Amino acid sequence: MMVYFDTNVLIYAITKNIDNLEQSEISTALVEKALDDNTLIVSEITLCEFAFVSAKMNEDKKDIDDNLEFLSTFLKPSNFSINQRMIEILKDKSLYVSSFDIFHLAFAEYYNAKLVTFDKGFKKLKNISKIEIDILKT
Amino acid sequence: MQRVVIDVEDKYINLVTELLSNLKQNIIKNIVIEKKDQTKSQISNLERFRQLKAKSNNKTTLTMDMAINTDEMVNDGLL
Repeated sequence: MMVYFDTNVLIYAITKNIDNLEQSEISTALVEKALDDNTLIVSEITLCEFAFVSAKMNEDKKDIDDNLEFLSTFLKPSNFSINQRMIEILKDKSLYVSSFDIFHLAFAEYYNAKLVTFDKGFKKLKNISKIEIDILKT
Repeated sequence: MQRVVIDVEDKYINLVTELLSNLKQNIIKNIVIEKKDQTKSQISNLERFRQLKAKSNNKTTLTMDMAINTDEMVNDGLL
C-alpha cells in the first residue's frame, strides 16, 4: 500500500532543530520505511505546505530547494477526479475550513494510500472515507 | 492527449528517438529527452533523505503548532 504523509510528518522527519525528539524519531522511521519500500507519494499541496513551513522555521534557502526537489521525485499528479471528490466532501460535510485536509483525504483515497499525520484534526474525517488514516501520537 | 515517460539506457537513446520521430505527427506530438545526472541517480532515495536531514540547519525550532498550521498559507495570500 502506498503511503501519503501529511506535511507535518515529512517536516518532522527531515528537520534537525526540533522541539520533540520522539516525534522526530517516529516520523523519520516511517519516512525511511516508505522510501525503502518505495511506497511514498507526495502531492503538489504537500510541496507548497512544506515550502511554507520550511520558510517559517528559517531553513536555509538551498536546503529548502534541495528538499523540494527530492520530494518532487515522489510527486503524483492531482486530477479532475480528486478535485471532484474534494468538492463532493466539502459540499456534503460543509468542512470548508478544513479544505486542505479534505484535499489530502481525496488525494490519498484516489491513490489508495494510507494517510499518516500528527494532526488530530483528521479525527473528524475518519468516517468520511474508507482509507486508513493513521494519526500519530503527539 | 496523454504523456508517456520511458527510461532508456544511454546507448539506445538515438535508436528510440529515431523510432519515435518516425511515427506520424498525429501519433507523437513532441519528444523531450531528459538526461538524468548519473551521480544523483546512483544514490538511493534513503541515502539522499539522510543526506538532506543531516544538512538541515533551521534557525527557528520546529514546533508541532508550526508544522500543523499550514492554513496560514491562505491568510498570507500564498494560496
